[in-house]
Amino acid sequence: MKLDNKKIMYGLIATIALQLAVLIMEYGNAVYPLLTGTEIKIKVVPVDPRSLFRGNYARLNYDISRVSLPEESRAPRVNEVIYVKLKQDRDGLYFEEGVSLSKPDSGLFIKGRARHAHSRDVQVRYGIEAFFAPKEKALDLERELRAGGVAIIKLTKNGKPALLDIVANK
Amino acid sequence: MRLIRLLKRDIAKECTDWVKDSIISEDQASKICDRYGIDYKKASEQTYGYAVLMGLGYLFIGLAVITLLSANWDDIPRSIRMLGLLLLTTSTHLFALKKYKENQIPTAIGLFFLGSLFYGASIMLIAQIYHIDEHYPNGIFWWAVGVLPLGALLQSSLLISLTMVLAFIWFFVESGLNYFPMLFPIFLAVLAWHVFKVKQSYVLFLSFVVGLGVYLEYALSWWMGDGYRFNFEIENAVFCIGLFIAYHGFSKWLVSQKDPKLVDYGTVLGLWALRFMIFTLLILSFDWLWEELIETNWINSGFSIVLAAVFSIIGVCFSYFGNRQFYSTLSFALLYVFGLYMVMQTYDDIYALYFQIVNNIVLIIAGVWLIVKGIKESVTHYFFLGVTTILATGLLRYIDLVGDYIGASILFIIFAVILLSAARFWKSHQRSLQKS
Repeated sequence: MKLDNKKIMYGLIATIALQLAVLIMEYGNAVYPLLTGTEIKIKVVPVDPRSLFRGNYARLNYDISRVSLPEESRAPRVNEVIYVKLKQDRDGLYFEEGVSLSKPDSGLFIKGRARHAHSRDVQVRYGIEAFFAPKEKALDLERELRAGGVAIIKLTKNGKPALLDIVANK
Repeated sequence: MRLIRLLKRDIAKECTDWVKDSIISEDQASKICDRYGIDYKKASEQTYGYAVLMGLGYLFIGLAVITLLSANWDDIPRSIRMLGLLLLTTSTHLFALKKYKENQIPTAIGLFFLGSLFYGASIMLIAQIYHIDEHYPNGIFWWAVGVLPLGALLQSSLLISLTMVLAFIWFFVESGLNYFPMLFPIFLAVLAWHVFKVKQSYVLFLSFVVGLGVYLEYALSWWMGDGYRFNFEIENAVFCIGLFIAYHGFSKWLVSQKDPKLVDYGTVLGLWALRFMIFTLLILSFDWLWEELIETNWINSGFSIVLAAVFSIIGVCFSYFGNRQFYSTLSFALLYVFGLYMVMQTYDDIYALYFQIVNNIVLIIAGVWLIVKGIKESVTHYFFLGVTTILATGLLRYIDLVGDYIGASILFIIFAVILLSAARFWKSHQRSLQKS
């Protein structure tokens, strides 16, 4: 089956546009919480892996990475969306105030997905668990954060987080 | 199904040498090549090696840039990095587009391939710049989706191969994170169109066959996991065997077609389906496996039997409507359905021994059938597969005895009787042929 050259040219141009659109959408999706979100700080502990596809990064574990659903709630399914309500303490850090499978009506909350099923104690991923850095910097960061640290996160109104920076405890 | 069909390039090369040595004329060389569906003139131009080396060259340029960039180039401001990635991808593609317009198609394909690698690197690097860790298989998916139209429009096996490598990686990463890769059939559909309608490629054809099988297996597991997790059970093994019986029948149908491309695909598929079935029989020649099967708690035994019957009917129908030689597919199908039914109706694992004995006898009969078929039709791979089957069965039963030593000896005697009877039959058959 042969298409004429003109149609192929249009198709190729459309494909290049599609690729550009994908990159711009990815960029927009990454930048949107940074521009519009509320800044919050959460306690963080790093671990250091390397991904074949994604380069070096420090894997981060938050206080809110493991949460418990209330007794009246059912156990979530794997990858089901979980909402964690957040509240600020006296030090300015945010902590978990409540967990639910439905979107809270008000207040500040962060959206994640359940990693384990059949239990109300859930490991949650928020999509902010990787801090990319060159290998040496990732290792330095791991050393600096041994005593703990704080992640600076921007959070949109619908609970989508974006990782801005990590600061070591002094 | 002779494997010489799969060595077309060698045939074309031999023909070129024969023409050079004045053994045959160019016209005769052309006719020989025509018989196997190859263009003698194009084949002797040897552009294949050039294309492969060019493709590999572009791949390494791409890898060099990806490695360099993915070293977390922290010192450059985010916006400059972002702009750099967009410019790199777009300018490579635009340069490729220019080459295409100038009708330099192989160069254009090579550049689009390079641009597609930059595109993938950009997806990963944007995720790095902004520390995005939100379901990373999506990045691989969008990479594959972005390359797919290029492969289809340029009808390029190189770009389709890149798409499929990415699609398979996405499939396994996505399912590894417990998401069902629902959109994988889109890639399979384009791949099928490419291998059946556009260009011949054994590797891509086998990718299609494997991809289809893997997708259906995972779909079954997803369904058995109530639509939110993968649940791999014994039904998956039943499904896999059934699929290969259907593939065996389909291979016979392909071989009966006029299009040389389909005949070649049929030859490859038939070869691998047969090898798979012999391999399955060899695995099933152990008693502990039959014990496991008897003790299995079938989620839905009726469904498994229906599945087995459907695959068998598909395989036999393809085989029948192909070249009418459906006995081998029918034999495998009957063994499969009957064996499955019997094992489901058995509740005491003491009977595993009987299943094992029957399975071993079937293996020896299959081996003899392959040897006889190989000699009768002068097809060497049947002959050697038959010899391998019998030797492997003998070796396995020597290491892993059936019952006790007496039982094993009796089984070896049965093997010997089958083999010697086959030899006598063969001798008398040859004599009658010589007389006539």
